[in-house]
Amino acid sequence: MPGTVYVVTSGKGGVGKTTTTANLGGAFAKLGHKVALVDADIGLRNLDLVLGLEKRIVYDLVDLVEGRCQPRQALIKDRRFDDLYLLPASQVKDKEAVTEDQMRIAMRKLAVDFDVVLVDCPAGIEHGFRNAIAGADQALVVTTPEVSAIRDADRILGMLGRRRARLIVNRVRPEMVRSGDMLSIEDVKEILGREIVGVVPDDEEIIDTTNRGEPVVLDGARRLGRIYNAIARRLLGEDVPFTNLADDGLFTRLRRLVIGS
Amino acid sequence: MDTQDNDAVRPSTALTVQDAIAAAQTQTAPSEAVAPQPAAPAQPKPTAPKTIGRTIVITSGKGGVGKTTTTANLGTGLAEAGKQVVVVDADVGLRNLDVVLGLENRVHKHLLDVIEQTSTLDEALVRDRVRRSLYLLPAAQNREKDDVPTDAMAALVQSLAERFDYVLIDSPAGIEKGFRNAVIGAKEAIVVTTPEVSAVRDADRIIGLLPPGVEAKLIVNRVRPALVKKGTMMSVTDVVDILRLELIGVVPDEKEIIIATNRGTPVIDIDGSQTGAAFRRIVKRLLGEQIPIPSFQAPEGFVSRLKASLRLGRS
Amino acid sequence: MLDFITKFFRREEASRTQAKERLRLVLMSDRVSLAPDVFDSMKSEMLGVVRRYLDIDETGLDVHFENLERQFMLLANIPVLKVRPVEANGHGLVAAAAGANGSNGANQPFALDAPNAAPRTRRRRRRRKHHPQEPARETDQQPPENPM
Repeated sequence: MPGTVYVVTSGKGGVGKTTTTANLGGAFAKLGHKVALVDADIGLRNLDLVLGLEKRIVYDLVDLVEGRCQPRQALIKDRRFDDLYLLPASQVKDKEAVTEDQMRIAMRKLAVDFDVVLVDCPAGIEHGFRNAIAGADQALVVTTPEVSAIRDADRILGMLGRRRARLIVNRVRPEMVRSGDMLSIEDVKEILGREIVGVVPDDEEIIDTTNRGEPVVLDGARRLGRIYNAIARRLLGEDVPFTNLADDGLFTRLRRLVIGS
Repeated sequence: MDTQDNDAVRPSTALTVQDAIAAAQTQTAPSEAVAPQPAAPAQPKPTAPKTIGRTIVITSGKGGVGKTTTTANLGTGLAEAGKQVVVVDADVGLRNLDVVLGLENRVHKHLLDVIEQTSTLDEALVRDRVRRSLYLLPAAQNREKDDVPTDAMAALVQSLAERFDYVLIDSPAGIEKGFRNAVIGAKEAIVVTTPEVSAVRDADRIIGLLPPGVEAKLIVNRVRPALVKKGTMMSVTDVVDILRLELIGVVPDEKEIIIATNRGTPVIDIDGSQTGAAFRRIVKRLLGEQIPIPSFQAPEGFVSRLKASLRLGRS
Repeated sequence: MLDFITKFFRREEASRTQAKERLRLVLMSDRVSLAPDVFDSMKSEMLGVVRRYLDIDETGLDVHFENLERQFMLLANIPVLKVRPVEANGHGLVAAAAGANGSNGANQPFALDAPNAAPRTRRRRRRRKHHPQEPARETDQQPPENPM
């Protein structure tokens, strides 16, 4: 039974596709699945950086698609996880280097050997986007609760054909939702009309972990680690209740203040 | 904020309405500023040369770092300073400049209509109701970036430059045709980045892809001084060292930006906003003023940490 | 603190509400322009219904969407030439095959049979060729004469 190929897309740039791909991939791997992460952002690759694997790249997606190497050579094993591999993007070629058919064939091949394939989609709706969705069965549309992001997500939802598309709402700030300064999750669901499979709070830990190349899911105790774990489980069919993000109240802030963490 | 004076010409250089129009059309860019002219004669000179406006593309490589916000705010600021400004949304299919400016409900025709001549430029331009010298040329939403021929885009930018003091082009993310169309015809570039590894890496790539001869400057956006102090975030100096570009501004991160986009009001107009103040300084620098870039101090000590934590004193 | 008080007393609309309302309008506008063929189908179907009850002047027809700043509207200007006679059950008549415009002014006969004649012959011919024993299929619907 071939694995599922998800494309992680958004339309709007900078909402967290790459971070989501890396961390969700790690979460699946920690749950015991064999995972391949594909960076489809040819020319502007970043998945390697977020995973801290940038120094180990020899072959990339374009090499694989053009037959210059075997999958085994292009896939980089992330040693921190049991079964997590990265297929990096090419940094020098531009996005016209790969066709949609080539992508479809390559992703289908990966699905034979892997349980889960996550394709990190570039921003926008040009060739890069079309290539990234070409081989995908399902879509995870990442958005933030902001006007531009939601507008672009709506546009993207209309371009995914008959693929199942679910939402991940990123960078949520519960205190701003409470004060009426940010759209709520309910608002997002109502406006976009799709199932929400993940709600991720805004957290400065992401910046730190990206700088270090250490996905936040490596630490199972961290709140974000638990959240990505929950998203993975929901995608696998489990009914996992959503964390109440509003727990980050006054007491927690005071505590952090005093301890200075 | 003086909105009434947008269309008025500085009285010392004009005697009649015709002189005013001629004078407005001969406003020079700051780098070419000459000594103040004597009072204009009663008859406008028939051979007075028209100065071409400045064409600036705002680009980044990485998405979501603040190109559109920057374009909207700099455009607004320049218009409020009395310049004739057009902001061009080059993000075909994923337009947002209209939404950030609060003009989305007045968009009817767009850039592709103008290029394909199913609309005149005047029909497509949306004039801001408050800042009367600010115009938006919207992107098409239901077309693709491939539909825009590069040479047509170049010609359009050129004709805009003949009409406006400032042509600000909001580039899409990425390095594909959308980006190439946005930079064509621009003589200057403002590269926007945030102090994060991916953004800096992409900015570096984009700088390498700018056509030769384009004068590029840097804005570092979404700076969070507290995180820089903690060592979690790169400092502005780190970024400038890597990218080796002249810095034209540093913009702090604030929740006011989200609120501003919710409302469709550029943050430059929100009183008390640090981000708005930073954009105002950048506008002044664009106009030729030498304003030092402030170093944003991280909050020190228990009391300021308390304030930051409980958000007291914030508008 | 002062800001909180003034906000409370002025009942300033939360920016979240503004955002939601703006998104509602802009997405309608985006979605309409993104699927023109879908909306063309909608317009055709809509006019099909109208034509059952009214004879309309096709040349003066104008149906379009308009984005007025606080509202998104479907506007239809449909010049009416004649109101069609109505059946006992209140439904409009199906347009006749030849005189589709109904411009002769005379009452159209209540003639469901006439348009059916030609296709039924075709069907019978088919049945004779392949399935001579098959009973006549009464449930086949008459396609509308004027899909556009």
